[in-house]
Amino acid sequence: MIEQVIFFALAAVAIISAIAVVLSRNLFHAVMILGGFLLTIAGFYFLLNADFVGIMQVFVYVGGVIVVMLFGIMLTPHEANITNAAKLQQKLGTYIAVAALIGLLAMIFIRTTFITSPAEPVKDTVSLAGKLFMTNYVLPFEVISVLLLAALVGAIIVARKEEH
Amino acid sequence: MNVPLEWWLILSAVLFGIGLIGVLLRRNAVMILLSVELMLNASNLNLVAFSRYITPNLASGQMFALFVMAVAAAEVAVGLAIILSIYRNVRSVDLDDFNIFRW
Amino acid sequence: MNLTINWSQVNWLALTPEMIILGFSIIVLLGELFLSKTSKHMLGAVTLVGLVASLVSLGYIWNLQATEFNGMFSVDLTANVLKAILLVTTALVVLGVLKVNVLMGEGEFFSLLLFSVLGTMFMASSADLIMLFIALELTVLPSYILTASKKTRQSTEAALKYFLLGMISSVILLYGMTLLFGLTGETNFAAIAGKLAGHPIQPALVASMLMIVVGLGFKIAAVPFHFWAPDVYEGSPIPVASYLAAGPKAGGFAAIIHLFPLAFGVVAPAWAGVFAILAVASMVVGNLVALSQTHVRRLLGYSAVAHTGYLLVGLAVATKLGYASLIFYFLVYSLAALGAFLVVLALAERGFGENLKDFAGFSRRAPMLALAMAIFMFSLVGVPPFAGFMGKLYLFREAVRSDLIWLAIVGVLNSVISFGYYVTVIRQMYLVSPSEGEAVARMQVSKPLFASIMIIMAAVIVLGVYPNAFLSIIKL
Repeated sequence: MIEQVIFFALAAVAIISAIAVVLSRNLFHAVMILGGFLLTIAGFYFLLNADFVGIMQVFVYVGGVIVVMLFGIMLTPHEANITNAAKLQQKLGTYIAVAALIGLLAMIFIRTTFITSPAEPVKDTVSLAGKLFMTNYVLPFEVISVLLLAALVGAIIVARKEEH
Repeated sequence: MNVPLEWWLILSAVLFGIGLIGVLLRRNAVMILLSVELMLNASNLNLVAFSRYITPNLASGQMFALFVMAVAAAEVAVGLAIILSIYRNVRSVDLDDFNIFRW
Repeated sequence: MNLTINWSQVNWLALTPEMIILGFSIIVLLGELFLSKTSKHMLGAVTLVGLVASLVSLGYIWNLQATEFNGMFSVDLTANVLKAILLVTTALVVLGVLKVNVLMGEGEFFSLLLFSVLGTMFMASSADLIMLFIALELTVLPSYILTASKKTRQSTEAALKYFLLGMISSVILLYGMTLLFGLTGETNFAAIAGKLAGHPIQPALVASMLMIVVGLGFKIAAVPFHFWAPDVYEGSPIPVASYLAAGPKAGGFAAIIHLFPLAFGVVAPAWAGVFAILAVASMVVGNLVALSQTHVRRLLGYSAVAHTGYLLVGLAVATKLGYASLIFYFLVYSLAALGAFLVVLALAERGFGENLKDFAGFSRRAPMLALAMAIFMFSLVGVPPFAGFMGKLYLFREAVRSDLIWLAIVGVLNSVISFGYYVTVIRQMYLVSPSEGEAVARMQVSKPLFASIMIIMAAVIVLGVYPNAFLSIIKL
């Protein structure tokens, strides 16, 4: 029962903040609300017994991605307020289409039988994740380090000013 | 767990849809980036929820979610660098100000 | 759960081509840091050595069948052939640009190129959803950066469009993958197939399949997910466009060939039908829009979309022979497209524009290059005796064998339409003289670029006359 209450409370916060991000007219506000949204997602992860993923969500997303985004916004010093150019008909059409898509997905999820397992969830996810990274998932772990290197080099190449 | 799996999936579908609205309606490149982040988090929520309900004693879904986070961080860094670079050229990050954005 | 990995049991031989590429990409990156400005031009040659070394090691494990790292990475003939095509085309790009200004630090350019090649190779070998997703990102992320590297307005705009559409398609792909994981609790392709076999088809499986088609359809530039391709081919620096036109699609096709028959084997007719529809849409849209293009690289971009359509015929057929003919056509197409891009590069290096009218009198400026360009165009149309003809013959023959005669007819009709714009290029080169007062002087071309174009021309002819030389290697 208590879990359901937490779920609905967090879900309400997540949905409202997601809508606020999408409709925001101010870039800075949008990024800050996104930070709040990402924190509620971390809350969901804790509720799902995925402690390590939740901690990483706070570290990587709230601590990393949001900060990078704030830097990005501040380095492009344009007026923070943005107008939404979409026409009313276009807006309505999109809302209806996306609502239909969500409804369709919900139908699909209800009609599909997922084979759930009653087993107890893993308690110590931190050490399990550590072991998995070094055993079963060692190859993707290495490949992602190459990906991060490429992104690091690439971001510098693209963002630096041309030396003339 | 007292919360059925379907609730999680529907929640993730709703968040995915909200992100999609942002992608389709916003014309500001940074706003589109933020909306895609919403969709990525919806996918990750799916992964962790499935991991909890389908394979609670394994952590493959959680591992997948962790990898997705790293990928998302890399993408944001590169994306913002590209947006920064285009801002230097065009003095705008609004898609309507670009020539070739004729979708 | 087995939480150990026995390093001595890992068949490292299976990974040597990837390890060589990784090693050389790091060497080249460090070279950019430590070499003096004058000696940096060596880095292109180093990259070429790395690609050839990787190709040699690939030949060494050609018939190896292995699955390593708890089912993350698997090697088979399909993966090896596609990797070989990728390495050969990339090596030809590198050879072509050895003496060309790549518009950024040589080390940066070549290391990013190698990172992207590495991602594509891992994509071709991935046997797990996690590995596939990461490898795909490693393929496209350096491509975004390379596209933006020119830093002109056009280059960055193309990169932004590529990046945003790429990210959206990645997240749709990911959502599809999560559903596949949820249905089975597995991320390994074979394990997913095992879990799904014998069970009734779930609605979520169909949704997952459609989402993965959208995600991968973007990467191979199939209509209606092709919007980025013409802009990127036109806007990015020409060496980058040449690479993108040929190599990275190998990863997308390899992923589809490995994933769909396994994970979506139970809904095979559904995805074969989806690919047939995408094939027709890509062929028709690509060819019709290409007809009205005047910018040669944009024209080649739409031609690439049309060729994705032809290639999708192989997936719609959905048989082993269908995939094999897809792979053969992929080689044939990427060689001809790459050759055409390199000819455009040769022109641009001498200060010529890239519009069709800039090709006027090309046959007198550079007879050999004009001949090569004409052969590439004929091969892309599918005129015998060039390679494109044999490629299309095999593809459409498989379509007919699988009772997809209508698809073969659409393909042939489209080839006829495509003649319209390819022949315009040839007409410009041979029949139209340059505007008055312009002296028609012999055009100088850098030797490596010329050599690269000539190698491709020879390959296009040889593959057209003796396709068995290649088919026996891929064991068709």
